[in-house]
Amino acid sequence: MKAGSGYILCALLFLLCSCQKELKNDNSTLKSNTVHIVFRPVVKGQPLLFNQPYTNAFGEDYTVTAFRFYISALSLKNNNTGFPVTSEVKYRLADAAVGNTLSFAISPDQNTFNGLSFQLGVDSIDNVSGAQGDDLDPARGMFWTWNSGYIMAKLEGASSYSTVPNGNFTYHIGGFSGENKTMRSISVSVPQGRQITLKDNRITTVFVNADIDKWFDGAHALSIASNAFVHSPGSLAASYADNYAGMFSIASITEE
Amino acid sequence: MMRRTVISILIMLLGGFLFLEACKKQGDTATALIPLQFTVPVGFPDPVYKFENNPLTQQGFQLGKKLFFDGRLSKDGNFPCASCHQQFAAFATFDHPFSHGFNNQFTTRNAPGLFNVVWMKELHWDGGINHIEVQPLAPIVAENEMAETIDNVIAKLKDDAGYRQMFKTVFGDEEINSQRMLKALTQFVAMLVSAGSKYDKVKRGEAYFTEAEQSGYEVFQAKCTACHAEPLFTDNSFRNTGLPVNEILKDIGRMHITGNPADSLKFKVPSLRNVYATFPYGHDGRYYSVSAVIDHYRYAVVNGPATDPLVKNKIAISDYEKQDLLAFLQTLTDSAFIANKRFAQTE
Repeated sequence: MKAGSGYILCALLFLLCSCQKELKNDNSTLKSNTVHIVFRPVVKGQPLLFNQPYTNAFGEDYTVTAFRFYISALSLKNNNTGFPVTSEVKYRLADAAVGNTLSFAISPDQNTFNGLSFQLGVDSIDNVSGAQGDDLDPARGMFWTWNSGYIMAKLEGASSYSTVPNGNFTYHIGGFSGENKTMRSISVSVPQGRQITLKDNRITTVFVNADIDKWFDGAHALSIASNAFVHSPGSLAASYADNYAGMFSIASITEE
Repeated sequence: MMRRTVISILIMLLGGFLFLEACKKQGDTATALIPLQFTVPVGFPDPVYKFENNPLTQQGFQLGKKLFFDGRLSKDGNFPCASCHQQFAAFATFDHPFSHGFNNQFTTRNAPGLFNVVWMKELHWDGGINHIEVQPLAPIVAENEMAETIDNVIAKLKDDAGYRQMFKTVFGDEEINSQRMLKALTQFVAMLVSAGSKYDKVKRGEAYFTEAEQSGYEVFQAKCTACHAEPLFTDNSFRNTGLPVNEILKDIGRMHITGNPADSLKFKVPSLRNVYATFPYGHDGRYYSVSAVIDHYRYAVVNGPATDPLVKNKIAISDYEKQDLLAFLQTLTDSAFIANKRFAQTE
């Protein structure tokens, strides 16, 4: 009986191992000094609540019903050594309604950094490369079917200042060529010139705020009354891109 | 004791069998893919679409063809791609300025013939589509065409065991997503090559033009090829040909995409291959005969700020020349393509 059980165990183990090859993940073992980057949709620094009334810089009331943007080439920066460590995710559709789309894990080779950078949007080449999958799947609702190209970022909500009949505003910001380019390189630094040093067996989390209020009032003053919707590439879309490029900041860093 | 051992062995055998089965799914059952050759016709330039990341196979083509003729890609099942793109009209809509879509609606532009699409850099009358693979998304989601959502189409395909098997054969596993659907559709559409007209045979030394056709060809070369360049019979540019704006549709063409007033009322130069099979003509199908189109250039060009310099002063074509030109244009009909069973609905 004993011999029988051992044999069964061996056989099962062997079979499990033979299957393992196909299950095995490419990721090598997680390094102990992992950094988590967590994007937090906020309005004026406070966590975003859908359908909650807010007021923008023009005194216009608004609520938010959808907020999404593409992130790529997320990397840590060290201004002294200049090493970039890029996360393995090519494109991530960060969606305020889907919590796990907002956090990234990076395992750098070096332990100090003082900022991070990323691209907001989809590179021009990926706008002209045909049918794509994963987060670039057109089924994600971030692709214009009549004028090929990705919507880099999307903000939707309602306001009594909206001039469209249903009182909504819909900012679908895209465009990938020339002056109409809406992809933006974002760089944020750790406050007060500090430096983050990762410690073994501790998880460092960097919280990056994405402040929706900046869409209206940033590099350009864009009131809801003047534009309730943007649905195509052009100079207006590029102005919104200038504004959302300024919506990010490192809010806090925790260690646990 | 004995019984226990027997049970143990049985469990082991069963367990082993299950694991082996689990492993098996990953590989070896796949049907071998038969590569399909894309042949560039003699004298044609290199295609724009190069089948990168979409290797042509017999099975991929067949899957694309099934999708092309499948009404389930539309909301109510009535509007497959093939409802507007009919083979006997060189994959345009026969005898319709506009095509029928969901809920008794019409399209707002004339359906173009589908052939030699791999040589197009941009698609649609306004060039809004920048890649052949993503084109089908436009009619699928358009409210007045197929009126469906991408998610619904994928869900319907996933529900069909036949499709699951075909996707598995073509792509290695049963996963069905928009990318795979679009690549398969592209394999079918890309193979729609029309290069077998009398004109082509004459070019290859296999046939001769009649006297009228030859004279017409000379008129064509003198007065039409600047836009309808051989051998594709289009230079794939966008031009304002002096058609006054349709007051109901107010279709501004290329400007709708670029936002540039210089592109006002510019539309894609259509290929003249199979021109006799694809009537009516113009982006809104306003002309019912080739003769009427020629007369537009002879007499009716309306000049605006963006009207093309080549037609601004109209095109001088005499009545004799016109008759010859019409004779020549008929040599562009590719009867073999229009009747090719390979592109026809199976069943």
